[in-house]
Amino acid sequence: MKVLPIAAAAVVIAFVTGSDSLFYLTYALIALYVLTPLWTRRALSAVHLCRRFPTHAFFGEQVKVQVDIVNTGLLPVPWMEFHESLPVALHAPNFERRVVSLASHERACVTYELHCRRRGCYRLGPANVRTGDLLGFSPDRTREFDADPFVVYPRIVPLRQIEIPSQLLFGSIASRQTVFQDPARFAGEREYVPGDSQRQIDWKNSARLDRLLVKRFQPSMALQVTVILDLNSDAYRVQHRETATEIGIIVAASLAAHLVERRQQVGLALSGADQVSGSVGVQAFRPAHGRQHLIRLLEALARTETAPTTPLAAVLPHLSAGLRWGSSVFLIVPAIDDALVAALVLLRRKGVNAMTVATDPSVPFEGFKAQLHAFGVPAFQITRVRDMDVWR
Amino acid sequence: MSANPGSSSDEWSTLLFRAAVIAGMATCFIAGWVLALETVADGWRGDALVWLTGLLTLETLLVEARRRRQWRYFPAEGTLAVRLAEIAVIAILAKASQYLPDRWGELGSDLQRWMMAPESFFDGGFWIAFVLLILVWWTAISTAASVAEFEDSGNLWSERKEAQTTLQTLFLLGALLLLVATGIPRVGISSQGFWLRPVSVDTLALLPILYVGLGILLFGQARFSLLLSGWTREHIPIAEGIDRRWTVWALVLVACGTGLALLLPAGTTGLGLFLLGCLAAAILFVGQLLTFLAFLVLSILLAPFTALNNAPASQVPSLPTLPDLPSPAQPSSPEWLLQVRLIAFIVAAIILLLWISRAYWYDRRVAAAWRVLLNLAAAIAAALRTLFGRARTLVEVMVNRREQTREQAVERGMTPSRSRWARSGRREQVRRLYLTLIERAAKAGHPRRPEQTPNEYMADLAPHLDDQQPALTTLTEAFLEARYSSHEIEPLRVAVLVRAWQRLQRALRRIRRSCPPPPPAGD
Repeated sequence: MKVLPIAAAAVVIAFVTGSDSLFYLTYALIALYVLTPLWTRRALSAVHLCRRFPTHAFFGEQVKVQVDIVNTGLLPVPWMEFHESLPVALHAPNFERRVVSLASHERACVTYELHCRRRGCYRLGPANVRTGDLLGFSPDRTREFDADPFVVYPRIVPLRQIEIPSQLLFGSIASRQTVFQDPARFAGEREYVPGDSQRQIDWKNSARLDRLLVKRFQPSMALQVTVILDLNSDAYRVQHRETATEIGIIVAASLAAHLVERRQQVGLALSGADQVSGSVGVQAFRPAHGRQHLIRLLEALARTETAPTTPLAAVLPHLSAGLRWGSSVFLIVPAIDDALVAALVLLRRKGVNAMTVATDPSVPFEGFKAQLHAFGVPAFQITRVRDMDVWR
Repeated sequence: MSANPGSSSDEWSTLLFRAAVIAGMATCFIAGWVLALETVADGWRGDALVWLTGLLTLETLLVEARRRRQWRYFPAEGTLAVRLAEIAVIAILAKASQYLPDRWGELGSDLQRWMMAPESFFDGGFWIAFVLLILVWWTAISTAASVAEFEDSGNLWSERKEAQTTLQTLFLLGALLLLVATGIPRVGISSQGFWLRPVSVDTLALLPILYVGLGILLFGQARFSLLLSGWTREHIPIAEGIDRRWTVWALVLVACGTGLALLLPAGTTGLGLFLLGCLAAAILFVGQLLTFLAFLVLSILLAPFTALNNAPASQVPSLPTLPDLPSPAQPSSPEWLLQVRLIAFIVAAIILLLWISRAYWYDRRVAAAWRVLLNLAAAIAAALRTLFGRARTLVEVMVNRREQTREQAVERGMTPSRSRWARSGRREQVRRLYLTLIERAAKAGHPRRPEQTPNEYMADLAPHLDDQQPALTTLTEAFLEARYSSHEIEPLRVAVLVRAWQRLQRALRRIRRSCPPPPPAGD
């Protein structure tokens, strides 16, 4: 309704007629016309918004997000339309809306759930609020509140049967290779037989029992594994790029979690792009152990995506330059080709153990598998999560 | 939070609020016109018409709202008959308003007059009241229908826009007519022409403000309906109680705005006149200038035609006068014909009244208007019940707590009046017993020196207490334990100490009586 013209007309008529009622009417209209926008503006500026949720979640979790809308001012907010934009991968539909009303210093809670069905780095928000006056004298006002980041870690498949070759001695994983016995793992004694090392004779017990006894030790080994994940988009076929990428990330995350759980050092090299920073190229993490390191790796895997980069065969010598003799490399690639086989052979000759996983189902695999097997490089084709059952 | 906009009671309270707002506006309007007409038409009184209008409008709006909900998906049958019945009831009410509140005695003679001359029923006072009632009744229905148009989420934007326009037109028209009505009593007519009487803040001055305030509240409700229908259509969950808050805050806002306006100087005060006088002077100056220019241009353009029309006027033939008409002959009917006519009139009136009653009440029964009142009564009863329930619970809690405290005090051997004692802890109770003992002993002439320990003081005081030495020992030891230990003191022990303290108190009283008080320090 046009208040100002009515008020102006009332002023003129009031003066002409000298009517008190018209004067009061004019004042009332002008007061309401001035007060209502001021109310809306002041009330909206006193509204604050805060999201409460865990910033990181594992795949498959259901995360409850609580949005607190607080009116810190004295003026009430008669109505407020709240609209939160959400990632469609986590919430359907891709928004959450609510109409609230806030008295002075009142708090309204909007709660919704996120279904972490896909790894990635998401943004919750931005949240838009719209409010207006009670009488419709002034146009509605809107305000935008910033978005908050939310990370969903990739899916982790428990691996129990996986065997990673290693030549590093004296680790914490029991080994079937009896040649690597760990002197820190005492396993008993036996009678001396000619040929046993004199250093292993238990002289005290031999003197007491008056016969020679030698100590036995449990064989063990240490794994220092570097997982290399190829996310060069050119290496993937378009029709399988999405699934093959996700499978590769799941394999990398599962392997990292498995090794950290066994108290081994694990490193990671990603040849792709970072969703958050936007950087493209190789992103490397030095081998380390511990849960914090695992979380760092999982976050990197959550944030990564495919991008056109240098082929892995070209950067592999570069990446393997810092690897110790006897350590292992777990290569996750979409497909194996001749250049990669040549690079792996070179790695093997440097004393680095290698394993390869191909994730693209549409490329030839068996021929390269036999070829790699001849060089002592195990190769697997994992195109679905179910294929990882061989390691479970 | 809830997906539903509001509960049933909230819905009814909103409905009632809207009906009350529209009825208030109608009452304001009618009050303005009644005051104006009472000034113009001598002897006509419309006090009863004002509150009758309010009640009629309120009832009609509630029934309309109910009817609208009931007939949402079904066509309204018999609407014309119902409307005719309602108009007839309004006519009866308009006539009744002439006899309210203190002219019922004239009804008997008037009834006889109506029988003899039915046309006398429809006198000037009736027509004024009837026209006003009908006008307000129909406007209120249209207003409520326009507000309801906003609520229907299935309506198109154009339909809502049309409803909004209707609402604005009705509001502005009502305001304009009300202003005219408030202006009529101020117009004075004399031989010199029209003039305006001076005015002050009276009912007439407040009526337009009240009308506009209620109108703004109504627009607020319309806006809420519009927003609500949009939210409902988009399936947005809405917080509970938003309609109630809307109503309350809109009332506060309008009251603040109106109150602020009433504090400011009006047209009769110097500041208002000065400010507005400047504005009016400017407008008048510009207006006079424009008028002068217009007349100048017009004179120049019409100058040639004025010169052509200077010819002498032709003779206009005079019209023939009509002969006087003969006066109509007086009807000469027999007596029996008059009786038949009277009986026919009574029968026709009874049949008409029966039909009106049937149509009116049948429709009300179908529309279940009484349910509105029942719901309202039930809501008020529920609110009162809740209020009384809370008050009763509060009283019960207080009584229970008091009784509990009293029982605990009795268990500990204390009088019920010592509530502070009962509230304090057992350690504190022991301490207070001992300190009171020291105080009483000091009054009895055996004060404790500051350097004395409790045991030393006990040794000093014991010889004066005769047979109460064990009680003193018990109390002193209990005090030391309460003061310096950390373990819990049992309730039974406190009771024992109270008895010991009572015995000591009696002994000290005896000492005090036997020994005169020490002389003042100055003597």
